Amino acid sequence: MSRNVTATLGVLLGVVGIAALAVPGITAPLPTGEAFVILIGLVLILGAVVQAQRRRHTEIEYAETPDAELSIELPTPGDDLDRRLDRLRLTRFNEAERHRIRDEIRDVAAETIRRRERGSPEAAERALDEGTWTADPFAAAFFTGRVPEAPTTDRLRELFDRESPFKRRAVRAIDALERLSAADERRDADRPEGDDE
Amino acid sequence: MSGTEITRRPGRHSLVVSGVAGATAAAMALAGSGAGAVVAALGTAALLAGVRRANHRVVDVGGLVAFLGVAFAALSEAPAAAVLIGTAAAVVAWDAGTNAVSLGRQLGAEADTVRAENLHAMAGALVGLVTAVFGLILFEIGPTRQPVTTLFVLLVAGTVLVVALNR
Amino acid sequence: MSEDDPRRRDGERADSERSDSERPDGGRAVLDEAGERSVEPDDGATERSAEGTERGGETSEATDEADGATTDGTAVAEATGPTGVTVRSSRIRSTNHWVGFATLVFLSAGLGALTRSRPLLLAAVVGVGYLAYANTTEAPDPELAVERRLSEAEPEPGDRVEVTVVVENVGEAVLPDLRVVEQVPEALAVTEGPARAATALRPGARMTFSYTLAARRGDYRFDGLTVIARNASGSRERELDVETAPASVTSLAPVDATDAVPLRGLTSPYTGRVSTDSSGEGTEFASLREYQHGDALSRIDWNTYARDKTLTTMEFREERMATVVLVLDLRTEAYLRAGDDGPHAVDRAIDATRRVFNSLLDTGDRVGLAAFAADTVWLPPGAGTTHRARARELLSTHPSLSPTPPERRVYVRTQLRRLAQRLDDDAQVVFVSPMPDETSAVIARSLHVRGHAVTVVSPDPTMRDTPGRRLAAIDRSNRLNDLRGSDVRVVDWDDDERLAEALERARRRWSG
Repeated sequence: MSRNVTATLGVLLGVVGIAALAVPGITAPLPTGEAFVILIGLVLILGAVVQAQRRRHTEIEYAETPDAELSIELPTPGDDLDRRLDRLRLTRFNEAERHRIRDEIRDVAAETIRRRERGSPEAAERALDEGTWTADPFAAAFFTGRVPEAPTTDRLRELFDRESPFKRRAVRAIDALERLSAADERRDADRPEGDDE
Repeated sequence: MSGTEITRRPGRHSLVVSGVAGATAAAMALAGSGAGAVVAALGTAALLAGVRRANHRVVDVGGLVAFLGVAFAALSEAPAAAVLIGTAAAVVAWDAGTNAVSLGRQLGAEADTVRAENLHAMAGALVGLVTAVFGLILFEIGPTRQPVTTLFVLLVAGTVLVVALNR
Repeated sequence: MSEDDPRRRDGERADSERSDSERPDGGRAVLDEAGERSVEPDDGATERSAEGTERGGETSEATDEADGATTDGTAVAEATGPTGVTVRSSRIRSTNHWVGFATLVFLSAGLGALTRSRPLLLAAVVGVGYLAYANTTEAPDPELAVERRLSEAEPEPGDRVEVTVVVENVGEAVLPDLRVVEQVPEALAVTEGPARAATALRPGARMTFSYTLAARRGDYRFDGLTVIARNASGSRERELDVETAPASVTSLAPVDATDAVPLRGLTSPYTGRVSTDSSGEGTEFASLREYQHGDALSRIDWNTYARDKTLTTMEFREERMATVVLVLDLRTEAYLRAGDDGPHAVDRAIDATRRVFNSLLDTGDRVGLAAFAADTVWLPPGAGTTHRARARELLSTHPSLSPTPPERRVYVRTQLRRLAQRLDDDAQVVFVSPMPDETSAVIARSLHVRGHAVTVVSPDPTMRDTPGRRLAAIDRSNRLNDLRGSDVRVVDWDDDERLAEALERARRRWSG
């Protein structure tokens, strides 16, 4: 029923009711028989069900407030790799993740070696495969996949280390790369720009 | 992310407010029938659970059940005053509960909402009390005890009008 | 929570530790002050001096923003009290809180009719009363005055700063349900207490709440509040975004206060080979070539002739105003920070852009602005005061130059194409980016390949304290060196050096 019809009806009934307050006799003609009252009662119950349905289908909505207390933390480059390296310790069976990490480090390694040696990408890959790019046997072993050519005592020490060998070798590889990269920088610093390749 | 994130649920004070109102409803229902009181109490419990979980639906259902408990008591010949106060209490419990859920979602449990909630509940209680007294005087105990039909007509008129104004 | 005498309550507060709360939930207490529209200065002074000495003598001078009220060293008088606010935006809605409440009314009336129970009919009357309560009032439009007090306006990074917000109802209407959420600067984190509160306010009443922040290096502004006002029954709600008098927290002013930066060599002032007869001012000797019949005698290099008896012609380049476009990298990937503290890479990039822009304008070049961002950022190259003002406004207020990463994706290829179209053929590019990934190098190279001289100014976001970070630093270093190899000039700007130093260092490198 439209709003206006309902409102008019309400006003009419209200007038009648208020009049009935003053003149009780007005409501006398209204049917008060058993059947009528039961009918009204049922209609009202039905109205209640309608209203209940209306409630069920209406969303309560109000303003949403933002998370004002939080602040956005910005990452430092490399945080992601650190997190993944740390997480490795917790789970055992994650060969795929190890491969991914190794590949990512390998990409940077290949580029660093290529720059340092001023050679071709293939030569850099070869150096990685053969472990000839660094003096650190454990760093080399990270990419060759073979047993590191190191004195037995060192290898035993690595075994008893708390870090997983994968992570330890990854770290040593990164350290070795850093040394390479630093040497590269020093050499470039002596030579002015424009002479590069 | 850093910083302390708020818990988007009502705090403990909300449970107290709705709990007190619901307990009043149950107590009023007791004047008519024990079973009614039990139903009202169960309804209150459900309502409080809904407040705790910030779930509007459960609060609605709990409130309705609490009122049904009072209605049941009314059918068992509870005095009119008890029924009216019980009804108002049930409505206050539900209204305060719904308000608490909105406060919880907007401000969180850690915010101090005690005063706001108390005032809201008191306003609701006031409305219920005033209409209850009005109804009682006019139709039950007052000198001009009106017949049921008049009451009925006015009731229907009032409902229709307000529903028409409904937002 | 009562409407106590404010003086007594504040006194109690000064006695106990500020951080104690009596709330069972552990949240911070909201204080309400009844009645008086303004606080007597005496009360304010004595109370706050008590609190001031509580905190070890740290006086909150910063709070005297507006008036610079006189302080006698220890006490901080309440300078202005709450000041009026402007509403930035407002939205009103129906909450539907009471929708379907008539269920109770109909149910009660129907049962009452069926069972001839008067009490139930009367219960329905109570319900109708509630319906009227719910549906006949509107959410108020609050008129507020807000004051924000900071315990320390210039803290050390990491210090705790307590912010106290006072909200006063300066309108004529009662606000039966007022909820307030502080707009904390995005980069700052709240360590104690929610920055929110709710209460009811009579006209003239005030509400106070406070929370604690951890300070960060940089300059942060508090200038907004989210206000939610409801009517008493909660059926209607008005949500407002309110602008308050600003307050700011500055921790360690930026290291480089000066605006100007040395730009020699950053861009090439010589934009093309133009034959000219004169070798006067504004021309630069470019090269020698073999003499061709018809060349002007004045351009013959007589020194060479004297030496070898060969005729050669000098070629000059004419100095012209250079056209430079500064391009910012505002992708999500560029929002990086070296460590936990201090300005992040984009902040530094925007700062560098501002300074280089102004310095280039000073030397007479035409400068423009662009960015790889979620929204279009483009200011065509120009010169003059209006242009400078336009750039300042863009750099200060453009939504893409925000302290927080963009929410939408940045489509690099499309933007690169569009930028290339917009650039004049002889425009030079200064690309300001932390160079975090291959895409940034691709951008620099693409522009270079199209014939624009590219200089990269790169704030260094890397650190070398953990393996992952070291690898990232090496990766970035390789990337920069690669670009250098392609004839792109790169300025690698360390976190702890001044921009002027970085530019000077790079210039030395370029000129051998």
